[in-house]
Amino acid sequence: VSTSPQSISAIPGEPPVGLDVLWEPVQIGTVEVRNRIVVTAHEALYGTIHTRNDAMGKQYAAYLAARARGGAGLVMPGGASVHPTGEKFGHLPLWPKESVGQYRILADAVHEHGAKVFVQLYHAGPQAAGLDFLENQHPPLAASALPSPVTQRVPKAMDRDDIGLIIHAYGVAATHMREAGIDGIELSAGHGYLLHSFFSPLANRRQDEYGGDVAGRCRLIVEVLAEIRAQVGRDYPVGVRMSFDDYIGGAGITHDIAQEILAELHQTGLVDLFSVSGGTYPTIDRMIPPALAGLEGQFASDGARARAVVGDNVPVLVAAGIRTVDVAARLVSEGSADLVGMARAHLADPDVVAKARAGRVSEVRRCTGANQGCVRRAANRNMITCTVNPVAGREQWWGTLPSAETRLRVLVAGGGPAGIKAAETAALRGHEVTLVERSDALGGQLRLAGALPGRSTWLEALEDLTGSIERLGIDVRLGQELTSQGVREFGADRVVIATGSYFQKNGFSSANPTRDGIPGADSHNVFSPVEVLEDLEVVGHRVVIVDDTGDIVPLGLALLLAGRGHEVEVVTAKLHAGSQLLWTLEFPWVYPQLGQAGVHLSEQTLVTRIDDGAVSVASIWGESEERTIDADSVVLVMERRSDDALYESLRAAGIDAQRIGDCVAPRDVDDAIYEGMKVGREL
Amino acid sequence: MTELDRLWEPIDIGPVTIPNRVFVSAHETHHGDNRRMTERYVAYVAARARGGAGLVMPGGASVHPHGEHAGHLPIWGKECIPDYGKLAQAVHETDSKVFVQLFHRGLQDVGTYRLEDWHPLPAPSALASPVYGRVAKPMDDEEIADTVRHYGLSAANMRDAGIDGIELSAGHGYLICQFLSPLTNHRTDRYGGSLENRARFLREIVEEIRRQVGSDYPVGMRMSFDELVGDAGITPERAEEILAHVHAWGLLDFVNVSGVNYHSLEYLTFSMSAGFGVQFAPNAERAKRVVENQIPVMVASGVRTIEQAIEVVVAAQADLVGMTRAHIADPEIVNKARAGRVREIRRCIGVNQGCIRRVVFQDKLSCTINPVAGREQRWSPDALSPASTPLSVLVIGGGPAGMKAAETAARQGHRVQLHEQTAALGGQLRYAARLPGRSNWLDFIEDLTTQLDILGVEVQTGAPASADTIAAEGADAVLLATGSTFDHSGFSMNTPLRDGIPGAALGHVLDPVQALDDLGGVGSEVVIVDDLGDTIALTLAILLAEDGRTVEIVTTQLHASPQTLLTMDFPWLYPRAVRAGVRVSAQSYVEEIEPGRVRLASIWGTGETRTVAANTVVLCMLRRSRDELHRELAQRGIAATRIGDCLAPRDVDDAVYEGMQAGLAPATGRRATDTEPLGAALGPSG
Repeated sequence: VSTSPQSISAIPGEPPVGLDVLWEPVQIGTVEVRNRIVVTAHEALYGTIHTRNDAMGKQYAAYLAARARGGAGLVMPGGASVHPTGEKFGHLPLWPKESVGQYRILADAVHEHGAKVFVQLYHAGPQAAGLDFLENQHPPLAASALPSPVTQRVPKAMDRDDIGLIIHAYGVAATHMREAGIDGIELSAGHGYLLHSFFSPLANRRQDEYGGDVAGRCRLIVEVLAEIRAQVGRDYPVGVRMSFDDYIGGAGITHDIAQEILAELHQTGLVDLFSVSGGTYPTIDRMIPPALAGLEGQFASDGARARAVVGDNVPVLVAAGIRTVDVAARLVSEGSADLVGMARAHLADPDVVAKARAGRVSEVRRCTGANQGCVRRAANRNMITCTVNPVAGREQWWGTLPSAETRLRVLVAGGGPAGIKAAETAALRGHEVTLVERSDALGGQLRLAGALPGRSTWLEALEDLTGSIERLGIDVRLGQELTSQGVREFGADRVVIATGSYFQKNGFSSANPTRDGIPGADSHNVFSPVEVLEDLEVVGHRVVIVDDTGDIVPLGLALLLAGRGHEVEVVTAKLHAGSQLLWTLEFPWVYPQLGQAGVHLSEQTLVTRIDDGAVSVASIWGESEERTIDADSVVLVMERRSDDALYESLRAAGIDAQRIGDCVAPRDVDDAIYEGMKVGREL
Repeated sequence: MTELDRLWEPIDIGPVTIPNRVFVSAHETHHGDNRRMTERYVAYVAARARGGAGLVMPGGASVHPHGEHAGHLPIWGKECIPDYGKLAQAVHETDSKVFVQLFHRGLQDVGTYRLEDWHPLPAPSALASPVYGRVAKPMDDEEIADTVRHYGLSAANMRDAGIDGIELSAGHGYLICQFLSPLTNHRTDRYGGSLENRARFLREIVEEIRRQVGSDYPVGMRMSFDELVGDAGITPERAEEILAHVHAWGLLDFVNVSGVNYHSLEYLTFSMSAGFGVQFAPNAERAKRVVENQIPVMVASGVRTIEQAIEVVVAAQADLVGMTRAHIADPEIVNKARAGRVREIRRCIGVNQGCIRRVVFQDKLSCTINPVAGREQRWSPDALSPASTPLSVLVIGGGPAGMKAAETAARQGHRVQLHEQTAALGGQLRYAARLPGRSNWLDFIEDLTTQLDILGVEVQTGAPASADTIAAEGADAVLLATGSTFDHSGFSMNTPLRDGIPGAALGHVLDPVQALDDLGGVGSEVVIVDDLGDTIALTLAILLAEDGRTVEIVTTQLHASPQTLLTMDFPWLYPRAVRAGVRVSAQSYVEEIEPGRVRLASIWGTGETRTVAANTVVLCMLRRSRDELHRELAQRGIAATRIGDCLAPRDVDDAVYEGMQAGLAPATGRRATDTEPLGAALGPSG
């Protein structure tokens, strides 16, 4: 077994290792899992109704059954709550007896496809505000009375009675899962939640036998394991998922401490699987890393360390940010992991394993790691789906794609994500599709976004889309501008318009609608981000970027230009830049880079006027004088407008057409792909 | 007739008689589930009707799938009729009436919250919401016609459910308002431009509704008489024109005068920090002139007390007065006022934590000072009946937790003593009330004190408790509400590598309570270290800066006081602080405190450290439970239940909730552990 942290080489350009190591079965306690690929526990919010947790049910089962059908060896829904004091929105309750029947629906659906299903037992501990449900208001519970850095709520340091109650609840939950036919359970013991708060020297300041040395800090989980074993026996798989590094330096759990904890747990002989993860609150960006963090395979060395502790006796699972089977195979073959978690990769494509086993790796639709369809939605309490795979979460309605009854000639105008997805979906159904794009390349704004630093996965998404339409033999015509006349002459049965949007350059903002735009915005030194990305040479040395979107475009552009030696200042009226990046967990990776790159930030600041060579700005609070920033060029990253000229001319000419994506209303790529699929299904 | 009695005069809205002039306006509660009305919701609304409000309304109901938003229950389909029928039935067990607001968000949404139905946002023009930031799709003629039809279906459903009338949401920046306002309607077709054109959408809706429900069913609208964005939007002058135009159709039975759009939301459910009263009353008066008293005019927003309501009606500014948050705080306002018990009304303090902040988080609404709100089934009047065995209950600590526990236990018929070690009741709230814009906390202390007085609770102030004194009392139940104190070490989970701020032990380092206790001792140059992000640091900064001191707030957070955004305090406090010269160093932490100065560094590890002169440093950081007494009692084997901050330092909401919970069932003997309520929670979640 290799234990060198440097041995992992999941680096593009290295020769790929064979995938066969992934298809060998592996034993987890008494259960055999057919291959090494795992959909790890992830909160999807299926099973919630509005403000409430309802129950495991058909939507969740259909979602995971699709991943089982696609070949994953082991699948897991989101962590489930063992006790009301640890319940959070989305984490469904396991203490009611009814959970047995509800989880049986899931077990049966997964077993139909030969996969195994585990359920993670979860108690949020200090990360639960204790306020989510009116009937269950309570102080958060934790090892010590130290607040969550996210909720700021100070928990109650658990007393003996609390500890007894919680241990009992774990046993009840485990029993319910076994009775439901769930193949095994995993204890959530990382990421800042209850059991982690006992492990952590930062969060655990107890003076009693549940604190102090490693044995003391592990006492609660050991007692939990003993209670679970007393309830479900030794022959039921029980795993532990833990953070191997809190990423808060020496204050929290480090590799060394994690190895000691692991040894302590391993020597109990009660654990059948160790799952290696990392991060705590607020370093959750490590747990679900965005692609631009560049952390694919980040926990490989920790997996190797874990394997060095437990030997071959107990399998080790490594997850978090693993997007491709190549990386997964490398982790297994290098001895960093026995099983590999690919949760988001399976959101993007449930058939990762089936395609890879059939030698069609290039057909796998890759996760972009943009965290928009999944993480951001969950953070906003919306059921998750996937930016590049709108079927995720909609399996009940969209699980199968019906073939066309009549083969139609379909004309799609516009080769951005909406148009390509529409063309792909229509062609998959058997329609005859022609895709016309006015520029000389497919991809639309996605192609330009892919040029931003850390955003190359957008280019992969584009490759996956274009690869698919190539395989389908769709007639793609580039460099051709369609007119209503051209559409009429084409004589399609159905016309789909996906002509996208363009950035406005008048400086108008819906957030500041009392003015029509920024005075001076029509001057020659003002550019849209598209103009700049198409030709980086257009801007002068000193650049002011006006950020009205709060997303990656202004900040990515700032980093790109600063990296090329420009002096860059970002001006935004918002409270801080990058607000849209908080819930994609990209913020902590992007924002600090700005300072390092020397980008100047003027936040809570409004551009009042653009002149030749200068931009005037003022505080939005009006407390100080206007000031002037020297600027050779100004880039306005502001509102986009639908490019609906073709659609309107068709309407005027009485030609039926359906619009999708930005040319209906400029939104996210998620909306474009969703509408492309929807129109393709409904033609 | 006294002035108060003017409120009890019935008034007709169309063919329906409202028994008095107090109403509860439409407000989102998230009390529905799975897009349906629930028993919880019915119980919540019915409690306000039983309490005497003449007219009650639940949250706005969605008329169209593309105008829907989490919590706004769909009513265009016939499935809703039985559900809303139950609501009507429950309200009609009283003399009160129930209206439902017909609601469509237009562009104020994201359109992607339900996986089943992602959609572009329909609106008059391709503009973005200042809150949600998504550009809308301009509605075409088919979409307008479809939406109008849905309004008609929804109205008919409400009539069929037995709901007494409907109100169109035509203000606050939602769909109809988006059409009416030149700010958001940039159309050049027959739905944009002139007043007649901008009102055409509304006219088509009203005509369709009348086709569906006839002329003898109350239909009105709630409008923003001032969008508060200056001449770009609806001004009172434009509103008068709109109202005159609409009134001339002769199709509407009432108008409910409000204000704001999504650029000025802080004026609607404004927080106590806003420091003003019934702001929309003058506009209601203008509306009354426009409609020449032919139809009733209603007004709401910020009517906190019955005295304010009387003023509005006596001055004939409006015919009905909305007291919505006031009724969340006390559903019995009307009954109490009619019975001559005005001083017993529990006044809304506008802290916006139990209501607005929870709703923003998509949690079910409750109330900071009235934990029964939203829990009317669990804590129904029946459940709150007096205890069968009166106990002697000793409450230690006269902050909000202790006072609420004492009040509740006494109401249950228990014999209650309350011991407070300081000279006055109120705990930390007494300090909070000294901060600018926060004086409403005093009303809350006063209202609790009134209750203790009426219920005959034996209150001893200046009475420090010890294990000995408690043992000597020999009470059946002991409730500990000893609160918390601010930590002085400078420890923060946001800077976990150190146990505190070096220099935190220096003499010029204070906590906010110490600073407020001796403002004269606060120096001329002040650094406030804010680890909480709530109102404390910001209001303390205002207090000190407006008094001529140099003040800088240092916080590791991304910007100052993020918690105050959710309670709508931020727009009132932050600009005031900035204008008072308060400097904010966000994304920064204090490296070291030295005599006369403080050294700051960026949390990102970039840039130079910076030195700020400071002869006083105030640490608004972690609070720690005062649980010494609890430990002493435990050692002596004396059972006691902890509530509020001495269990875990949190919000006043938690203190009041736990006070109520403990007061309802004071635990005795072995059961007296604070784990008990946790164990009791084992059951289906909800």
